[in-house]
Amino acid sequence: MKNQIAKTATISPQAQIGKGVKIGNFTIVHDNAIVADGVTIEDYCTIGYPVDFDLPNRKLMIGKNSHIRSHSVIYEGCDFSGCIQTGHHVMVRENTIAGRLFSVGSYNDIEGDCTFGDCVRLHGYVHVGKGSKIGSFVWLYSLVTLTNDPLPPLTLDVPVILEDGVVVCLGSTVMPGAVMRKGSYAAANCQVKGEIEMGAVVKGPEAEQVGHVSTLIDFKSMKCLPWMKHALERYPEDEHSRLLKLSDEITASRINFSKDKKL
Amino acid sequence: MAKNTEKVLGLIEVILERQGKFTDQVEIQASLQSIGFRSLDFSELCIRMEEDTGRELNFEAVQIRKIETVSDVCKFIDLALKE
Repeated sequence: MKNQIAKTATISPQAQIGKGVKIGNFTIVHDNAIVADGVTIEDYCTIGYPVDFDLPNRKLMIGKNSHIRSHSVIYEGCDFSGCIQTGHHVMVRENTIAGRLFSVGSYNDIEGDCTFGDCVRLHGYVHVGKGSKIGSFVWLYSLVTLTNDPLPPLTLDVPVILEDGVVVCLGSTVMPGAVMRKGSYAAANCQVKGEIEMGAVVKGPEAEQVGHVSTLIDFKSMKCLPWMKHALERYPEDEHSRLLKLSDEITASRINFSKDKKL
Repeated sequence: MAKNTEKVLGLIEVILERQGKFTDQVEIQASLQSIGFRSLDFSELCIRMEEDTGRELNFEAVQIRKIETVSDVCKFIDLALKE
């Protein structure tokens, strides 16, 4: 597999570039980048952007068959060895770590020190505040903002936690320190705050807990959440049992939810 | 008329009124679209029904092709509450 490096690209001699790598015009690959086999980096990207402060690790790992689309900037100290796919104009700050098959939509802004589990999907224009901790199989839709400062500009660093299987719909804001437990679901334009219990559905500016995901149904298709059982084909086969287990766990949480929660 | 119709109608009215969407009596034949009753509202209705009846709705027991009207919602809840 021969590499295809554009003549106008600048590749540091210290960077490690695998086989079958494509690098587009005017892209810069800095010293600490480790680019695995089969990676495509499109035009005008900056890979391994250096910072002038200490990091636990300065290496930037771009995993096998990753695809970084044009105008994206990824800082040093990040680990995407499990494969990352980005849209255009994505920015990922230092010390961010993701599990396998990380999918990041166009114009995303991921501030530093974030962790993501496996198979996380972010649609376009998502802002992920510094230090956010996001589990596996999480979906963040367009214009979602994860905040981290309760009293800006004091830089108090109170990041959010989103556990496995959480869905945050279009335009929602997750307030500093909010915790969304497994499989919880924020409807569009919600302002999530406090702790959202497992499988809960929240909506509105006060994150009113209106129901449980296992009672969310599409009236036309009659498909019902949790979503995992309807989306298996989108995930690698070796993740299916994990997804189904998560789905069962979330569905089972309705028993406690119904009995204990006063709506 | 479905068994829990009265209760379901009352809860739909409560849910919609709280959102400022509806103040009149809900008609059994009304389409959900016309009264602004959405999936999120349905989720709330189900949880309230479970609390009211003390029983868990069994979605898998329901064989309905789609839900379009208030009547369909009532039918759904009835089937889901069947033993």
